[in-house]
Amino acid sequence: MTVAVLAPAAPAAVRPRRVALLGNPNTGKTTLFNHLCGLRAKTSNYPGTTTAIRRGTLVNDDGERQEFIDLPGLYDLQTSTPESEVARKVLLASADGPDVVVVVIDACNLTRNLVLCGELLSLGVPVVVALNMMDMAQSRGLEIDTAALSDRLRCPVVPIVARRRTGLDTIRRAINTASQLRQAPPSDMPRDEATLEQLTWWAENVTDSVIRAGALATRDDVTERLDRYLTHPLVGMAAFVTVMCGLFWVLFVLASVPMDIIEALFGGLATSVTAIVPTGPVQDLITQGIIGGLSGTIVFLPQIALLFFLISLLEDTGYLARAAFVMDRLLARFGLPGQAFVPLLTSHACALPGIMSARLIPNRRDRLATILVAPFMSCSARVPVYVLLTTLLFANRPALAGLAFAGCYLLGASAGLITAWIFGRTALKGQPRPLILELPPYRAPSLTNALLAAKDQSLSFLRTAGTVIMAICIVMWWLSAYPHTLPPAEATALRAQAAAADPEPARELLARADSLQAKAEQAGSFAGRAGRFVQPAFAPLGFDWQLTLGVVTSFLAREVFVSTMSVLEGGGGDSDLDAGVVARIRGMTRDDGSVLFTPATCAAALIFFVLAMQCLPTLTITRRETGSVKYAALQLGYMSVLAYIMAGTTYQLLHLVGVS
Amino acid sequence: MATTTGVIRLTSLAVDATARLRSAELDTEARDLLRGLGLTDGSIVRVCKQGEPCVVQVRATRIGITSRVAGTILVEPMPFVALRGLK
Repeated sequence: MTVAVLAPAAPAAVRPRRVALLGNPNTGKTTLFNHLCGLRAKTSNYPGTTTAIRRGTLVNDDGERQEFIDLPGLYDLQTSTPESEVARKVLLASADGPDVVVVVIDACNLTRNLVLCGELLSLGVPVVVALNMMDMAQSRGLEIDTAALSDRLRCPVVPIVARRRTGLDTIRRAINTASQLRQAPPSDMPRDEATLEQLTWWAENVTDSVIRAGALATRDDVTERLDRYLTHPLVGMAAFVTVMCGLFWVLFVLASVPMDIIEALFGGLATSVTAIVPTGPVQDLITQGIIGGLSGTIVFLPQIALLFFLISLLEDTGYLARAAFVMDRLLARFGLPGQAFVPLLTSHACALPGIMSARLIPNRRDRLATILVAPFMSCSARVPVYVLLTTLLFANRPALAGLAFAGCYLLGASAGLITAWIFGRTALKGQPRPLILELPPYRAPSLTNALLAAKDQSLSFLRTAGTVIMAICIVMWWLSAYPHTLPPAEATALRAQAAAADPEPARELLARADSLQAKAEQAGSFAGRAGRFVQPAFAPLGFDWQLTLGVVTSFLAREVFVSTMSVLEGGGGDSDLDAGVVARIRGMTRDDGSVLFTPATCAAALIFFVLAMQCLPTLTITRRETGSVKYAALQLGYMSVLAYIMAGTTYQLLHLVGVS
Repeated sequence: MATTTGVIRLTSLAVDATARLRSAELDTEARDLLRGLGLTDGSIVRVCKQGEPCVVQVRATRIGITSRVAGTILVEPMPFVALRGLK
């Protein structure tokens, strides 16, 4: 190995030694990073991009601070993919560039991994090669002469098994040494912007010279048989449905336990605050605005953590790559990639984790298409609205109500797929990338990686939830709660009657008075006034001011529609739907005394809620994940206009044929 | 389906057959991705599975390719040879 010792670097005390980790996908790079940095790592987008990189720090035995940067997995530095561009920017940064680059190489796939290593060596940065998965190489009878490899590459080569933490100390020592060395690129390397073909020829040559026994390109009969089943049109689809049912069950059923606990904790917190803080605007702000807003958002945290935990496990096993091909047959017809199935399926639980999981999709255009249509999938927040409106639409006909309920899911999914097809030909530039994926070997998943992925994504979500989303929640609460309205005369009269009545009738009178006051406050709030103000625009949909107010208030979260309707009807603002609440809402009337929830109005409202973008937190996440407010605006504008037109058309057609 | 003498589409190869990659009628982005995965010009591939997806092995890498893309890849069939990267 030809190296020269550098003079001690003067600014070493000023900034920590910077170490970048680089490697092909599926080489165990993230596992190595997790073991080196553990829980100290943070995920963030590279400035000006939506490509995530992870940073972590550690203090070595000499007390020196080192900063690690986990670059995205990539196959080569030459292509124009976002991952390669970010890697080039980090590696070539003059002031903040890495002092050492650790290239993680899969020992069982030496030639292809050496291509990226060769590109890096030609840049002249100090390199340490981490030759990972040595246990698998040995089990295949592969013998690699690491000393010879080090000589050929002119840099330290450390055999490791990252999963078992074998060789990590040697890597740390090699990092410390390498940053003091100036390495000359191998003399036999193709120079001056070598093509991938030239680099591959060089990598093959190096591989041939360092393998002492065994073969790299062996045939793996077990993997090939599994692939035949898991990508089969019928068997593969059955396996896919089974796996996704499990995923969905976890997100819908299992996650409900911690979600209930979170709601109960926030409920308890609000009660405690009520007991301490005097009644008034400050108490309202804390309990309803801040605690209510946080509760409504953080309640989704278990779903997000569990989703990313399971995705990481599935990705590690190698199954997700196979599943992508199963779904590509269907989704490619609409211009969506096979990988879009995870975001779209997850969005049926909640669009927030669904949109975040679109990071699985490597191509930006395909990722944008998926993010834009994900909110069309019927999320769990729509369920109470669907239940209410289908029950109102088909009173005493549960079979038809059930069909309508299922139809809502179908309508949402169809609208999403058709929209993807339309956007693919209009708003989105470029062609969808045809599905070309490495099919990694099947492996046991890493629990550590899955836990850290869940932690990273949860923290990322909490950062957004604790800032932008909470601010939105407070504003929406304020608009719904202020200005306070004086109690209506009828409520005051009822309270006066209650004061003179026996305890039992007094309770009923007070409840009616509270209900009347709540309705008056709802109607008199800024949101209520806005509802009345914009009502003429919703008249073609058959919505009166009360339904319009339901639409306006549910912009924070769709399920608010039910409690708004309950308050306006004169109930207590229950969001839980029981037969009594439905019956009372069915009896609601317009100002002229006519029935509000006619079949035509119910159908129009149902279609509106299936298609409308009634979720501000989703828009916030869309903006963050796309890196641009214009995509959030497009999502909001398109879905709102589509919902308006479809609901209006439905109402007018039904009205024309006499169903009203 | 033969296109020019000795050169056929990847989708025409039988399972387990080996062939040398000649060219691919793809846009730059897709071609770059294939090259990054190891399907460089002149590389030798073995067909592991035909249909949807077409699965090929190049050196130690197994790659799934939609049949639409596989149909645009032109290869020159070879008698059985050890894949490059073998020692």
